[in-house]
Amino acid sequence: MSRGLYALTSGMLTQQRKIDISSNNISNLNTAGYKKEQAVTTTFGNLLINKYKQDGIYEESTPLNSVSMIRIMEENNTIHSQGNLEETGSATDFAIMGAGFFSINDNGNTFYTRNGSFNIDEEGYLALKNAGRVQGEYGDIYVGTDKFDFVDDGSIIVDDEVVDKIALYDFVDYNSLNKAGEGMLASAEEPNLVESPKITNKTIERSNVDVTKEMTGLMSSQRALQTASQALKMYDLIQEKAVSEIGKLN
Amino acid sequence: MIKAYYTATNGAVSNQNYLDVMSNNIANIQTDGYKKSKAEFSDLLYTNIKGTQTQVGSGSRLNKVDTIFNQGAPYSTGNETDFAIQGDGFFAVQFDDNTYFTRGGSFEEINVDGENYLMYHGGYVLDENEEPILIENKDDEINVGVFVLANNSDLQKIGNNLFEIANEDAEYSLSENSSAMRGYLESSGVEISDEMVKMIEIQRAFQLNSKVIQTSDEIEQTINSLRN
Repeated sequence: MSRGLYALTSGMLTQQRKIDISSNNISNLNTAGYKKEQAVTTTFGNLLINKYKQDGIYEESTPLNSVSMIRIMEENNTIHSQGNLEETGSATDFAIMGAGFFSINDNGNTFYTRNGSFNIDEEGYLALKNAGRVQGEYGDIYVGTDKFDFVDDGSIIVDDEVVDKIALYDFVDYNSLNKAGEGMLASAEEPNLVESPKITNKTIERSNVDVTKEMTGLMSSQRALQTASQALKMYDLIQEKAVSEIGKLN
Repeated sequence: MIKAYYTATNGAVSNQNYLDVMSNNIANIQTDGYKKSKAEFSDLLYTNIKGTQTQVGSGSRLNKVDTIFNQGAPYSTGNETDFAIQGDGFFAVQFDDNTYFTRGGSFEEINVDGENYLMYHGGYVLDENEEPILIENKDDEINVGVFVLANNSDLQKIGNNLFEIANEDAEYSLSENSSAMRGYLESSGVEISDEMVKMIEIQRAFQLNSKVIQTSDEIEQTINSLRN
């Protein structure tokens, strides 16, 4: 079969993946602290050569084929730009200004998030609902009341006494962060404590999804997919001719 | 079917939930002592695309609905059985065995077994000693109790502008700082401009999600018509 047939199919599949990612961004427009994702595509052949070189086995390998037209998804980048801050009036809402993540402890597992829409849990600790307890400099933060004062370096003050300071962590390599659902990020890398954090109270960080970009991306992906499908049909026509006319004995 | 179809459906549903919460706020713009609700969302499970390290998410869902306990503006009604709380705290209302809380102070004088009690939606309003308030003479001073909780988020809305304590360990006590003002009511905590702006935002987000559903459908159509 013609190589083009497979190239076009891979193109269509890649566009579908792109739409999947776009639709997840759009679906999370209202999710506090959500960071948008961007699909990065590459050609299969190039990837193969790169891998060979990295393995160190075929260090001087010559390319098997210089024309590789199979297109695949290489990675899905999370864009960690600052989202808009929105004032909510809720005493247990926090937003990070600048770099860093809140650290959440869920039964011994540590996750990181930018979603600062916390609550006081039944035992009086500052917690993210359905996720776990927020970590301060001394571990879980016991507040006990939602009537507290807050200083923007993270200090929570109850009855004129500093209870704890919300700790922020940052990473050298954001690529080590994996999304785990519920706004949580997991990382194998050891994070660094942010020296001078800046947190605002009674505000939350909205998602950084850009509606216009997602919409245009969606449109171009759809058209690219349609174009590929038209070209596929042409291939089919050519083959039909080859099979039923050229090979005809008359 | 492609995944985007379901992801966008989840998004459309969470926007619908958002609108439900928002429209309840707007419906209560005239409810005295009403505290507005706020919805928060979270993203759903991430799965790897076959054969790659690439993760793709499956949409969003409603995570929680919080109540925002902001002080509403008090206004004068001149009515002897109206009360407004200045500061933090709640009125306690007793129904059979349960005590509920409210910020809505438009109480009524109701005759029960020949005696007049201060009541709210069929429950007894409690005084500072947590006893029902008996009104013998209209001009008498009425000491309505104002109670505080350490953590207002332990309260859950149960309708009729009442809150119930959802946490077994939560305790309430008489407020030291807040007082009830007679002849006043606290207006609703809903800010109409805020809600309207939010509503436009939700509608657009919903439209976007339905656009994605439509696009997914068109893609299916394209694929189905490959062979004609």
